[in-house]
Amino acid sequence: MISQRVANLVFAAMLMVTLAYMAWLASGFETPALGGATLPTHFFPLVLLAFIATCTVIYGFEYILTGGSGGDQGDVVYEDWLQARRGLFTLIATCASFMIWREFGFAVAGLIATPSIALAMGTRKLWQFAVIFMGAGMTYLVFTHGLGTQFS
Amino acid sequence: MKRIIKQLAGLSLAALAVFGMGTAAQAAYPEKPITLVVSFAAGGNADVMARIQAEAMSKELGVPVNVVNRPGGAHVPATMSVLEAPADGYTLFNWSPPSFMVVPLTRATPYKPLEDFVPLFAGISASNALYVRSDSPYTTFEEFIEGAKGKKLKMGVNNLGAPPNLSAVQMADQFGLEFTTIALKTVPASLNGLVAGEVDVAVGQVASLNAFGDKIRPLIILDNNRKDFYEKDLPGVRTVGEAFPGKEAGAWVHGGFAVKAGTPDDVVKVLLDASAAAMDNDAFRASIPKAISWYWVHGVEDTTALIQSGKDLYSPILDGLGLLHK
Amino acid sequence: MFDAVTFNLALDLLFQPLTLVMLVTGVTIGIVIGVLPGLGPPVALSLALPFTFEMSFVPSIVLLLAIYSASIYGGSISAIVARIPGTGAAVATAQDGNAMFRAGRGGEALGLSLTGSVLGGLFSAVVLAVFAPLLAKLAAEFGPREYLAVCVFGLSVVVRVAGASLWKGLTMAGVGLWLTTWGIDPLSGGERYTFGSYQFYSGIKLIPFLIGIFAVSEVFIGAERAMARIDFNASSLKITIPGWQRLKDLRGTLARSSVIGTIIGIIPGEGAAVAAYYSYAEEKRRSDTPDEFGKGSPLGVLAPETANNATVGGALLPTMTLGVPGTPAAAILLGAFAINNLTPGPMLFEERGDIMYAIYIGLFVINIVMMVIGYFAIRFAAQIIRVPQNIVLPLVLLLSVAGIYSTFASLFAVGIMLASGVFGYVIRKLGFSVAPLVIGFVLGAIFEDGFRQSITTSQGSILEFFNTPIGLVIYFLLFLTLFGEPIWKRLRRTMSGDPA
Repeated sequence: MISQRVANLVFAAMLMVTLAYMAWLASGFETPALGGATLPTHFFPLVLLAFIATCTVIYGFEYILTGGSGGDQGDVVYEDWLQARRGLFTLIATCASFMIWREFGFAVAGLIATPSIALAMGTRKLWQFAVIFMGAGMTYLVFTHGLGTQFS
Repeated sequence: MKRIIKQLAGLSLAALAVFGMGTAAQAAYPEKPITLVVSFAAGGNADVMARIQAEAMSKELGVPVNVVNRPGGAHVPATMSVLEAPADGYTLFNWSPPSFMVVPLTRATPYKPLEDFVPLFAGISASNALYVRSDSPYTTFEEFIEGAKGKKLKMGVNNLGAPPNLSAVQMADQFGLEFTTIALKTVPASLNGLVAGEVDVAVGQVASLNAFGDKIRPLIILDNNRKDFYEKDLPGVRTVGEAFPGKEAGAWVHGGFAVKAGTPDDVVKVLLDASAAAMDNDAFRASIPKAISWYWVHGVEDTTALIQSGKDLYSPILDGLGLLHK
Repeated sequence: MFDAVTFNLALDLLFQPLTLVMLVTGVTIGIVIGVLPGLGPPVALSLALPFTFEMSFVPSIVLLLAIYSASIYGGSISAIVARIPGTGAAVATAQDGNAMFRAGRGGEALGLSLTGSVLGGLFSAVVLAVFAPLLAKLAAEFGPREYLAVCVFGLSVVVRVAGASLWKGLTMAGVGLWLTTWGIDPLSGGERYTFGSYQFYSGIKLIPFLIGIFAVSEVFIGAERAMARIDFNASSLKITIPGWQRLKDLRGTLARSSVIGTIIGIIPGEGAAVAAYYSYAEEKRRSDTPDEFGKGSPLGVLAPETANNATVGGALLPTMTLGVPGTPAAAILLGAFAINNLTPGPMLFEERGDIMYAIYIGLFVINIVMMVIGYFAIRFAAQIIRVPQNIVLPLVLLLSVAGIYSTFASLFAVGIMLASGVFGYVIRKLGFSVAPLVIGFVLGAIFEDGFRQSITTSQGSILEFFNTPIGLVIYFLLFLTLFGEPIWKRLRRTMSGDPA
């Protein structure tokens, strides 16, 4: 599903847009007087953004002209929908758990995160859930009592 | 009658509970480990001193005082992390010239040191001196001023906005000199840079001569007044105030602990008592590393006054250089 | 220069019960901390530092050195077993090490990484002992221009580790470099990409970024096949420590990587990750089968592991002789010196030669002990492949989050880690190699600092940039690594009168 060629070209396009935005931000950087630095603050970021843009354009052309870069002509990003689903759902579950942690605190997030991430990955057997929960519990204990971390 | 007895009973129970909780809270601080936030990287002078002090406090208070390093970001993230914690005395802040003085004066910060914090004491101190290499043609400060006029010598400092940098800027301003500033991250690194020839002159600490021996030559101490420890570390070297009366070379380098404003008074008192007992004695002073200077000020009022004196000193300097954030 | 009396004093200091207990404890703790992603040498050392208050200097420094060396090694275990470097030092080991693991050569990989680490550590300990005063001068000579040269040399490394597509690799190297500009500009105080939040003032921190790019993205990628059973041959789990013959064959790699690691360790400020990548790139360059690298080449495991442990002895050099830390973790060792009222510098060697000798010998013993304890650790670690991936991966994620949160006590840091993880997942799926991104990020701050301060020191003249003996040597080496081979081949052809 989704050939590398298409995916990389889309990514390259998105990257260029992001680079443009970041360059626009950089041009607004202020250079306070304290440093006496010979180069203004926005110099390095802009030079690097230009470099990244150049490289992106080059490999973009590689994809357009030869269909691939570094020999990945004909490759696909995901072999099948199952693979994509597992990876992406795990990603979503992780990010959602983080949001929950931010809004509702660690305890809630922890209780939701553990099963949902395991589930997203494809865990179905109850004993595996049990092991994961135990591992999570032990980690929590070790960190709070061993290292004195305060999860809030 | 029954109702009145019930009400009285309820009231007295409530009173007992509140009273009990009150005393329990009072008697209980500290009952869990305390965190000391240090806005410097681990291993440097400021961090080492903070750890030594944390250790001493820990013995007095009976609970661990754990140091957490949060360097970078102009000390703002570290400072804010203390303000984001509750004002219960379990998070202490290791304040220093950057966090309480220079940064709030030169940029917009989401905090105001003397409003948002209750400073407890000041201990660590440092004074700066101007150094050149031993093989430099300048043997006295006067020769140096002559030689530096019209040229743009390379001046080594540790970090922008830190006291060495400000002393150098002030000196340049007072004596009509111009320098190119190179920030080499730490004081030892700037002196190493001096020895290696990366820079022509550097600002180091008064105690730095210990580590570098005969490779560097002190020209002058960048201060208005003489402090006790100058003779020990840099015998025979004058201060700017002595050699050039009328020229300003004020320096202000102090650091200590503070808690968030709003911390209960009884908690503050426990901390004050513990710090006085832990650090205001000869045994502690003897344990301070050679390279670190010590200037003890204790108590909320006195420490606040000290910090205010620093603001009064640096504000006009920064203003004159166009760096004061208004 | 060798003083028998001082040597004996040192032996007395070292072989005390407390010191030896600290040594063994340190190695064990170090390996465990190294394995856990998110916790690394700096964290472990800061946690151990308070304990040193209670002890005199020698047991304290032995404890810290043991933790330091062992944690650099420990990161390789998780790198090989799970493709997740436990510490920054093991980033270069992850790809080849894990590839070997999956191909059924896990025992071999683990054995190689342990041996390389121990030998690299021993080498740098000896160099430290013998050459400290001489090499101290080298460390002192390093200024902005020399650092710039080292970072430019990193370009050649990027070229080698870019994987199949050079331009995609360079793109990511640029992104890595660019990401380090976030935060407050240390040279001018200006704000860059702070998005109105003071949390960004200190920029993107290295550890959350690295753990995100490696560990978190690995969890997402691994999730795709988490339910698949990994077929492995049980005998492949048997740890094989390379024997004499094998070591002889490998001596070139061992020697080169040890030297590279020691030198990078000596250069103040560069860390173990840089040494690991530089030696990896060098071995790949020299290899007759460069395409094997990245797919499970034993040298791709041996070289970085030898180099990263070799940075320990190297890092101690400027730390003890100049008071300037050779690596970020060594800065904490400086703290231990200061707490015990010892001022690093030439004076230290003269006045307390016994302590210095104790440190050298201590380092030696630490590495030997590491060999033993490490062996048991990896026997256990190799078995992890038996655990189903869908159990391992969530726990890895959890450990990473806990580790980062514990170290930084900040939800923001966890956020950075997750964001890096998502980014890492996306680019890995798209066929980018993460190595250039990581190298760019690791070198970025030093590169910018070196470049801008060089301009200041040279007062604008580009020619001045090269007016430095060390810098010239590095640029020359860079030229050789990039163009040496083609030019040499050309010369040979012309000289042998080949009309083609």
